[in-house]
Amino acid sequence: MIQAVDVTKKFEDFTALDSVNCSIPNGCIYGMVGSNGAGKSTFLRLMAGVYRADGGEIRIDEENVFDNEKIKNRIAYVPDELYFLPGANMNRMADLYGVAYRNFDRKRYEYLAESFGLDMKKNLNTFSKGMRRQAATILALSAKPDYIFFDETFDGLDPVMRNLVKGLICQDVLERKATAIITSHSLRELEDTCDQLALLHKGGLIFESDIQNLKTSLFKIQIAFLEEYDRSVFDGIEILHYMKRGSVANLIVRGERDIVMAKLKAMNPTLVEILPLTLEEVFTYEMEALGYQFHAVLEGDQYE
Amino acid sequence: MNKKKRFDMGLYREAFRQGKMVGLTTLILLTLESVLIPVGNVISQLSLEKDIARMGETYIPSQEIMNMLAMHPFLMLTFTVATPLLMLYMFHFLTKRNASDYYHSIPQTRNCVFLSFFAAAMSWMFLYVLVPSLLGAGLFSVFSRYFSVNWNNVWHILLNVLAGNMFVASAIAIAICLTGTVFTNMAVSGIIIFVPRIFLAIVTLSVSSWLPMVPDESLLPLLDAKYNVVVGIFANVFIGSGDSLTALSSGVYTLLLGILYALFAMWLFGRRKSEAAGQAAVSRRLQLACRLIMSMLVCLICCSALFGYMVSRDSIDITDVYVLFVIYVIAVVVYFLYELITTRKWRNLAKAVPGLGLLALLNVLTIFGMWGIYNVVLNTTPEAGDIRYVNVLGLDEPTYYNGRQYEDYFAAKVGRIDLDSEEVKELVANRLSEEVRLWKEDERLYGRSMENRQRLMMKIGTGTGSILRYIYLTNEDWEVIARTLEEKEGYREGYRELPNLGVDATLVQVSGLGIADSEAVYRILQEEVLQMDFADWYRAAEDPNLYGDGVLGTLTLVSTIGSETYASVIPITGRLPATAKAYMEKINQDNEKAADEIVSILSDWKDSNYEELNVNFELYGMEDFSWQFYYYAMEGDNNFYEAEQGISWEDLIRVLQMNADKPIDLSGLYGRVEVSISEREEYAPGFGEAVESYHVYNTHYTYYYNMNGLDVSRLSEN
Repeated sequence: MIQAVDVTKKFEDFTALDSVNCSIPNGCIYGMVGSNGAGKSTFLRLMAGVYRADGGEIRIDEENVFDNEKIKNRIAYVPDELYFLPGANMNRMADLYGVAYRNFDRKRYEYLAESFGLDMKKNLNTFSKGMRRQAATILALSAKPDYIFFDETFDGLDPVMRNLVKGLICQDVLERKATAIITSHSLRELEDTCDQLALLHKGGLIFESDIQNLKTSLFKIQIAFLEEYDRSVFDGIEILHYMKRGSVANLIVRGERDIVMAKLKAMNPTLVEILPLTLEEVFTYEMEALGYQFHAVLEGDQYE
Repeated sequence: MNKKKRFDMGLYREAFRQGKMVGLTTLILLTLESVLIPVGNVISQLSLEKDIARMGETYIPSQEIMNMLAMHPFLMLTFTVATPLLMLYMFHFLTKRNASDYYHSIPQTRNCVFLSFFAAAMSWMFLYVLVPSLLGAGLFSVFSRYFSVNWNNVWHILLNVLAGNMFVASAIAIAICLTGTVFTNMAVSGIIIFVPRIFLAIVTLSVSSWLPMVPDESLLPLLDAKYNVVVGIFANVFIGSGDSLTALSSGVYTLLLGILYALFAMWLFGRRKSEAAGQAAVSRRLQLACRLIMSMLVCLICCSALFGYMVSRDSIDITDVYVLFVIYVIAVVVYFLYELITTRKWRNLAKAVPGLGLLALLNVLTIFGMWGIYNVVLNTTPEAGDIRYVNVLGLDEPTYYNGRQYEDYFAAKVGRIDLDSEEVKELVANRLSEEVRLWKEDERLYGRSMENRQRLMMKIGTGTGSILRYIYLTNEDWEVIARTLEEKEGYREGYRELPNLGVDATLVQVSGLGIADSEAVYRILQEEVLQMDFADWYRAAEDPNLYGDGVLGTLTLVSTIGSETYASVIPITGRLPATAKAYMEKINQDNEKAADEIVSILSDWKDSNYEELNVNFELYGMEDFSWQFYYYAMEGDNNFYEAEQGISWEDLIRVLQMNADKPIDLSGLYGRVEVSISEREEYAPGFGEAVESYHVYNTHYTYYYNMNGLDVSRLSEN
């Protein structure tokens, strides 16, 4: 299990993470989303033992991660900005991984490289962005880690490769009870892959939840009344977003579905309907509630 | 409890592989050089032998003694170029965020990563220092007909070079841990290696320049630049601080310092944050420290000048004030420029302004610190009753051999002998007090008083330690010292027993002679010294009044005591008659034809075609002085121009003609004649040239003559 207890990380005057607490059970695929600069990559680096926390600690199986050889040997970390030795090819990097990670499986590496169709002897500088990410993923997975951390995993991968990578991650989680933590802006991909999701914003953990639970606790309601009404009629219901066009209003509501529906039906609307939300919509409306929205930019020529 | 691994063999091998580009390239280039040099030397020798054989003569080569740097001159490039490059290359991952994150994410602990990489760098260093050096020395040894390898020197130099490399590597490791860009890596490496010494050197030189009775090295003995192999080499170039490359003490000191630095670097690496990669420094405080150090280097000039004004109490004129102001402006510019170059942010300049207050404070502390040191040292004047012993360390003038500076051999051999007579203690205490008193009263008065005295460096031992001072002795004082020294058995033995050639790497070089002749003259000196009265030999070797006049030539003796190399220059004068005679005979043997040629040239010059004729004649045998005469003539003018009156031209030729075949008589008059002629050789105009051309070539002759019979009645003393 991964436990983050009051984790704080600062870079000079800037607080990247502020007293973050979370628990990630073993054998799950944990997704992390957030606005740009929310602290996702920082959090991953802390869990990978790259950074030392300025406050609190991160423990994996009850042991502090930082500078812990035993624990870090079970972690593979694929960062957003990849690193390869200058002038190296995949085989050369495999040698380095083989030295660094006790469990590095050369045969698995060769199998995966062939499966991905990558030339192991070709200079990595000649690879495209997506191919480099594939290479890094292959090397990480070949280390047979118990904990795999991916930062912006799907960035640069084509849809076929994305599916392949997702499949491999799931395979490791299922077969070896590995735990994967993935950050991505592609909520569509996370929706397919993750069991749990956490939302970070400005260094704080806004929520973490089971994906299914997330999608059911937040939902869209379309409602209409014959008479005139405004937002105040919905007092008592937690509304993240309200938009009315004519007599029809679209509400993004957080709460128990049954209870909310009962309340709304009691108002005798002419129309009331629940519509499912995508994860992307969940993210957008949650962030809007936090003030992270830019409608004003789109509404007028503010700079004139 | 998780037992942390300090070193990982696999990671070491990986790091070693990563260093291949720089390490292997250096190894190949240096090996190439170390092979080409002996091969080239041997080819030269073989070619010379062949040329001589073609003339029908037999070539008898004299073994050339080969020191390490003569065999492998590029060796010093290891710690000046190769090792810095290697370290910057192997640890470059600390300057890039993604690379730094990677190496901080791998399972190995930070100490393990550092140690493995550092060990790999050291392995390459050992390879490219030792392999070419030993290969080159081995090749020279194979050709023992022409070369004799000074293995003592080889091991000393190799130890010191390895120590120097280790020191440089460790200093760079510290810098890399403290900074995050290549530029600041290099800047801070330079600061770590040189700035402490530069700072101490400037402070020491500034303070000791106002303490004429205090030797420079006595202010901060252990921190003298010569003890650091790397810094000592640079210091030797600029301020002549002594040879750090062969002294074992330098090697050991540098190695210890290198190990300490390496341990410190490892500690720093363990604390370094990965996010420091790409930043000028790991913290703002460190960045401030770097700025202050850079600008203080400039400020030291002003501190030194201001300290000088405090001591001399001279008033500062407006020009000096302006110059100081300009230098301080430069220092401030350096302060901000460093910030700008390393961070590339203009807004940081405003944030750096408060640091100028610290800079001002540092200046004040430095100036008053120098003032404090000055006063403490100046006022340390032990009474005779407080002195336990005195060591006479000699004239404290360095001896140069083959471009290197050495401490005096005799001073090292006998300088440890304690003189504890009351007479000497009283003399030393009184002289020192007098010097300090005169200096405090008026430095000009001090200068005038010491003008006619001779300076000796002495170590004065008291109950609380010892101090080094220059004691200015009158002739009477000199006699007291010499008399006291004579009575000491150890002193006499130390002076009489000249080391044998080939033992303790003893070498000699006599001015104007080759190796074999130098050694022959030295052996005669060795025998002569044993037969002489000690006082005569001591004065012949050490009397400071001997230098200049009356000296036929010099014998430079180089030898080791323990592991250190020393040298002394022994003037060859009439006080060493057997040595002097042997010396002159060797010179004459090498210039056999000169005896008659000189006489012929001087006799027939009026009928000759010489463009110019220069004659230097030095006359010996008249007490401790020699007389020098200079004659000059040029074409078209049949007059000789005599620089000094006393010996007529005609009389000189007469005696030369009369004594050309006579042996030199040291009980009479003898002299050295040097003749230089310029002759014109004309040749027909070449293609495209309108007129005839000519070439002027010079010929020189030198010979020692018996000059008995020369009329010296008109000579008068100056």
